[in-house]
Amino acid sequence: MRRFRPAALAALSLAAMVAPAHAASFSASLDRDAVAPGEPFIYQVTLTVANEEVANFRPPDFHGLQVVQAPSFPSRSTSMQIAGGQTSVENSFSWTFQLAVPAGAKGTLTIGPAHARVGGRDMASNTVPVRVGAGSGAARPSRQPPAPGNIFQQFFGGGSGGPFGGGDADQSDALASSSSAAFIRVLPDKTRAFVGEQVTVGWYLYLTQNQNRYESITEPRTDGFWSEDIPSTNPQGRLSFTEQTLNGRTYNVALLFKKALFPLSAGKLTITPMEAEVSQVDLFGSAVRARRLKTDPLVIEAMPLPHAGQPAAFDPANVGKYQISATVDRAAVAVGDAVMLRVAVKGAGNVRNVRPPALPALEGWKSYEPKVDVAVDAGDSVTGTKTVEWLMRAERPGKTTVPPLALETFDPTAKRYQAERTSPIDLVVTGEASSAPPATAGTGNAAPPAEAAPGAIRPIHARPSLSTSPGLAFLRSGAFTATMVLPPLAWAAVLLFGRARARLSADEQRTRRRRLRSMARKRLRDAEAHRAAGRVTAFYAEIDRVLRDALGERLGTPVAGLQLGELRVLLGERGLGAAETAAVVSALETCDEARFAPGATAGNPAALAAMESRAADLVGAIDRAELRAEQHPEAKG
Amino acid sequence: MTRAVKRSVAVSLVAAGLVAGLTGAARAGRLDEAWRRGNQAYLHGDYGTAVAAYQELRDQGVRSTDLFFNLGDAYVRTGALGPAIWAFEEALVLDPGNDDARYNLGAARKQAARLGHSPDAAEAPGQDRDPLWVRIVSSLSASAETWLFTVAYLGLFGLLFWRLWAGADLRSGLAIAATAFGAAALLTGALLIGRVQLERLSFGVVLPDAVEVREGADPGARTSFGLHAGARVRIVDTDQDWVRVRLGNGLEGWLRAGEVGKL
Repeated sequence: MRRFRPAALAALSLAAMVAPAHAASFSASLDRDAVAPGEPFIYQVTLTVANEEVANFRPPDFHGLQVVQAPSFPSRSTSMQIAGGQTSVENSFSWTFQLAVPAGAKGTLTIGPAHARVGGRDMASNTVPVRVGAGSGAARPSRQPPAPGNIFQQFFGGGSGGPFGGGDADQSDALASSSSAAFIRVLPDKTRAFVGEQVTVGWYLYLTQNQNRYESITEPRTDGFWSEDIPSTNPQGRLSFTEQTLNGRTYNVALLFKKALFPLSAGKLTITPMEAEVSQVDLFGSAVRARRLKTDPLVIEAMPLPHAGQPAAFDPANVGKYQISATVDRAAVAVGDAVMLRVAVKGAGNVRNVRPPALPALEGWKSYEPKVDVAVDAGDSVTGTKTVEWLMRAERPGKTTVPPLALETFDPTAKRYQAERTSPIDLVVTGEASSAPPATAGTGNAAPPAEAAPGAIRPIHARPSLSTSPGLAFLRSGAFTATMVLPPLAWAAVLLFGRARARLSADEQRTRRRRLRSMARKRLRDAEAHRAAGRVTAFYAEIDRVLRDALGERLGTPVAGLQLGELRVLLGERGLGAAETAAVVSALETCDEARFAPGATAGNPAALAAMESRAADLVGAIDRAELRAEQHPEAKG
Repeated sequence: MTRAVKRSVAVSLVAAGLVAGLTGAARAGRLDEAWRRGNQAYLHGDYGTAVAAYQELRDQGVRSTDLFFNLGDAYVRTGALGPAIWAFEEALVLDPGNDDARYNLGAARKQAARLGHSPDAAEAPGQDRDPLWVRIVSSLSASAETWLFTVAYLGLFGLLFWRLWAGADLRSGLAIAATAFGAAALLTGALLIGRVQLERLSFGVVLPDAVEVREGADPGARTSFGLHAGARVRIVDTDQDWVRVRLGNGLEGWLRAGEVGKL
């Protein structure tokens, strides 16, 4: 064990002050309730005096405990208060030891009292039992009675619910360089961790007096760690104080900052001291009564990851408790289109440094440089999600399965290796093989991830040729106008044509009737001439002709060659009345008989006159008859 | 017309057809080249080049859902969320049923909100909400409305013509079918008329991250309210390089024309 130099203790002497403030106290404590063999822990002893001289500090008997680190000098702070016309001075000295229980130790060990000479008398601290068992892994909170109100909040920005969860907690067993009036403490949640396991360290400012200004001088260096700042919950630019009692004194405590540290290699890693200055400000804005504060270095022991059970594909960056999932934005695409494969690793650990599995080569697909996005959640324990997005372009039709992607991790809490796997994903590509030129600068699967991808959006439509909107082009073209105009125009034209045709048909009927009447008058005159001349055969031939021509004119078709039976049918079809039809057919039969089988009665002048009159009546009836138009042969069918 | 004249007219027509065909093919080739160039640039992470190629196509008068979708993606990747939102809106104007464009529009709007482009007091809720008739008209793409109307319209006249020459037994059935087609033509025709009206109305999207809407078409005019990237506005007036915009909640003001992407 290192011996303390007498000169150092001599320097602890103080000048006498006006009045003593408090009775001297000398107390010792641990940073945890139970300690596992080999696990470092903190033993701290604090001596608080007024104006007495302190000398001859003697560390306790550690009874076989291993001393990992011992202080060369105590942390010291001095405070002065003027109240009721009296000035009181208080000096606080604190010695911090880092200890470890040797392997094989069991039960409870006891650290003996520390000794010091205060004002000419010997003082001894309390003894501290060390229970050997399962390590707590974290400094334990302590309980102390509530303390008086906080007068510093008006200067630094008040707040409740500080780093210790209330205003009455006592952190007397913490690691820090502390003095009674102002000091900074460094509080790790553990001092022994696996490589890659998170160690949360907080730097806290302890004040007993009103201070207006805090200024950091030297930040602690965390070489050998991957450091992640834990976001502060303090109001912007202000410290948030809570009250705590430490070694019987009330402090206003503010969290300065907190870091999550991940050891990068095995061994003892040191966090260097930080220095800061607190001061008050006079009426002119100048700093007065400045105090310089400095912490002790903090040693974290980083343990190597166990070799037993370590998978071959394990990456040392994957320490933590993680889950992995894989999704695609669509499972069916056309050739040339792209699919976004998103692999998310979510959990607790150094999520920025975690290494998701690589994407294997997929037949018929071209993958591009992946984009990586990391979202870290707020909180003392670093958790979050690392997302890797692979843009994959389909080059051939068919079905492809993205195989399960495995993530091998080491869970430091459970102290074992684990494997997480994604589910396989089926992709279907339709269409024909891409004729587009292949990408020439694709980086493929092996390219390192690029950071800071933007929000998740569906990938572009990388079809070989640009598809336009034919409907819209048609709407804005003359073809659409023509399509709109032509049908109604055609409809109107058909209607007009039909009407004109009907009108023409009516005119034709009138013409035919006029022609019929003219023809009938002429033929009947000829027949009369034949009758007067006694040409009986010619008379009946003329009567036959006038009747057939009249029918032909009205029906619009010649009937000269029709047999009488055929004529009867036709007249019936075209709507000539049955009586008129029978009369016409009878007259024509009479004509035929008189022409081809003349008898005595046929040449009778009275019979001739009657036939002429009868023919004139029939022509009038034919002229007046409402006949139907001739039906088209196809329509008939 | 002599045989020589007829021959020269025929040759001229064929030549004109060839020239038109070759010109069209050359233009299509240029467009496809720019399209592939944009896609390749995007896929290799050169988003600025991709934006330039897609803009080149747009300047050529190409209106395609895929083009505006890809342009929106490229804008998102360059961090230009206002133009990205405009491009996705354009894609949805052309094809309201495009699920990808709708998804990415939502993502771009969320990203804009995350970056602090959340609506302020002036951007009252519902400002983006269009009138009912606009939403009805926009429920189908212009292309779909065009085809539906064309089919219904031609079907109506086809049935009418058929009925004209059909036998008596088919006439009643054809009349019923023609009535149904006529109703469909009226409905889709109304949508199409609404589409034309919509295009006359002119909507727009705010392009910069934040703009100040002024009381007058003058840079010295007092600021009325502020708008953020992606805010949808109706353009109700123009004055040189200024446009007067109206929000869904009735607020009006002037913006520089370049600050609004017309839809």
